[in-house]
Amino acid sequence: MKSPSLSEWSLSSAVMALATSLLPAGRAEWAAAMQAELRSMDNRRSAWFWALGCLRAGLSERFGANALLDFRAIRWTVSSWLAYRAWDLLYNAGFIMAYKDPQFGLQRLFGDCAQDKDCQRLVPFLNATTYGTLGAWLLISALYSLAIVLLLRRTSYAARVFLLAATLNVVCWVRELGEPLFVTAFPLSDHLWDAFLYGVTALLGWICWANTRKNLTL
Amino acid sequence: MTRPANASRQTRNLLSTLATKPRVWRHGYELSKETGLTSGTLYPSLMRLHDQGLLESKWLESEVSGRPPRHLYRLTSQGLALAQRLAPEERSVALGQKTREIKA
Repeated sequence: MKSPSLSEWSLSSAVMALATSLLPAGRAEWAAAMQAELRSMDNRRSAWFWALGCLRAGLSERFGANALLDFRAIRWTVSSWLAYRAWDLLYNAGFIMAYKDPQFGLQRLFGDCAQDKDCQRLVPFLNATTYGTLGAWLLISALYSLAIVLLLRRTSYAARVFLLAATLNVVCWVRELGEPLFVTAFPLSDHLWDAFLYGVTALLGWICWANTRKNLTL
Repeated sequence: MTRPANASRQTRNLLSTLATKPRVWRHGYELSKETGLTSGTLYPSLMRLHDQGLLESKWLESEVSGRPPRHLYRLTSQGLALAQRLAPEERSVALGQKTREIKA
């Protein structure tokens, strides 16, 4: 067994110093424990992997899902995203409702540009969208708004409401993708953008969910 | 309160290893070798078990001069009870893995 050289020790020690500096102040004893184990090792390979593992432990304690939502900036970022999603749904529902109501004159406006290709694609979709779908969008928008309030108040139900809203949102979107009128109403880039938005929402939902689960499990 | 049904595979592995010799104090590197867990998985699990009163720890002076004292761990009576509750499930998982290996 080859003893580690000074430089190898220095490197492992540097990684370990970084790892322990990442641990919250309340974990000082654990930081000392990790360092003590490193200094008890004779095998340079084991020491190196030990230090790297501890770096991962330090990162997970500092930035893991359990701690992520403890950061005000992260909570506000997630809330801003949810606000964007809520506004997007509210705007779309409001726009289509306004289109369907003759008082607003949007049908006449769209009728005037009937020669335009975008109008030709969009109008059948606007006509076919039911009040049931619009109601679902408004409900999801309200759920996103509720999730924002719960998240900022750091309530444990925030993740559940967020996931419920996100799930309903994705279900609605998948259902719409099965409608030829919806698919043809928008260019492919719009659908890809939607997929990106749902991907980000799912990722944030997973972070919130992991946050809740970690508080409940070993 | 802990919810054993949700204990991760790694935590079950750790609990079962600690429960094999419940009165013996063990250090992190030894546990890492016995469980096959890296320090990156082992320490967060140890911290969580300790936070929940399932694990006790103490410092012991090293027998080798010039080396720092080491942090040792063993299960508390609550931890041992939890390990014993989880043991049948852990055994059935291990049996399932062995069966899959034999079939393969």
